Amino acid sequence: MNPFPDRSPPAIGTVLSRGRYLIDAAADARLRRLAGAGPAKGGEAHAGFALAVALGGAGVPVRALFEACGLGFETGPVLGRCRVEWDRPLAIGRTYAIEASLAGLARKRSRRFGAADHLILAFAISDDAGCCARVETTTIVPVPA
Amino acid sequence: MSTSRSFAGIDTAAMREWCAILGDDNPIHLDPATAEALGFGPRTVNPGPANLAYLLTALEDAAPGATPASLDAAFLGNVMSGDTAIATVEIEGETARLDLRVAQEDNGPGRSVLMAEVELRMRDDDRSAADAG
Repeated sequence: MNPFPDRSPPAIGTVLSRGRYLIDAAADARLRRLAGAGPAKGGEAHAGFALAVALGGAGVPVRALFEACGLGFETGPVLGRCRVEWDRPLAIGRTYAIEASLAGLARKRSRRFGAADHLILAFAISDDAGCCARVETTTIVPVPA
Repeated sequence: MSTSRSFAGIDTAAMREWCAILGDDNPIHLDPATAEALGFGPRTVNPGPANLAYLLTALEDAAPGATPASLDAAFLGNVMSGDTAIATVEIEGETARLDLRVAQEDNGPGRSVLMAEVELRMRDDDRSAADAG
């Protein structure tokens, strides 16, 4: 359900938030434990950090990103697709800057969800040397019947 | 080359940790009653990034000399609290195809819930070792 029915979503390309994320050794060890991975080798963070840094480092909770686009969690949104491009691996001990922007929002119909809004968010992950990775998530937000 | 491994211990407590990392308080991951009310059944839903992380762990195990350069993933279904997920990695050249399924009661793999294609990049130290060899 759209909690802000009177609010139009922002224009495509609008920056929704900015934040920072430190991948310290404890954070890498925690994610590796949850992901069933062995210890890190050579200072490279687990590749799953691409999404963890994008979403967890956006500067606001995921819910707030949705609300900024006129959407909410009431209908149980689920991740539908994601793309990641790494210019270089994310590293343990490094702090990253994250910029989250709206890349797409369209209402579609599917057998699995019926009518649903497809929210595409783009995340740019950078360090002092420039862009390290780009993440794009498509979340399917069912529309109440 | 094809390898498989399973991931157990998927429960609501682990989902809470994932949600804390991701800054995601979507109640389908945290509250079984909400998950059921929204049609997911009486168990919490594992966050999609957690499912993807299992695949990336399986890839790390299968290709220790490589790191992902790009990834395209389609989330086709859900892993629920109490499930065991089975990850399969097939590597051909510099492309890896990853598949995550939920184990069935007879321990056989069910249908795919997540499929991903990953382009791989050799790590510099491994490339140097290969060139020297």
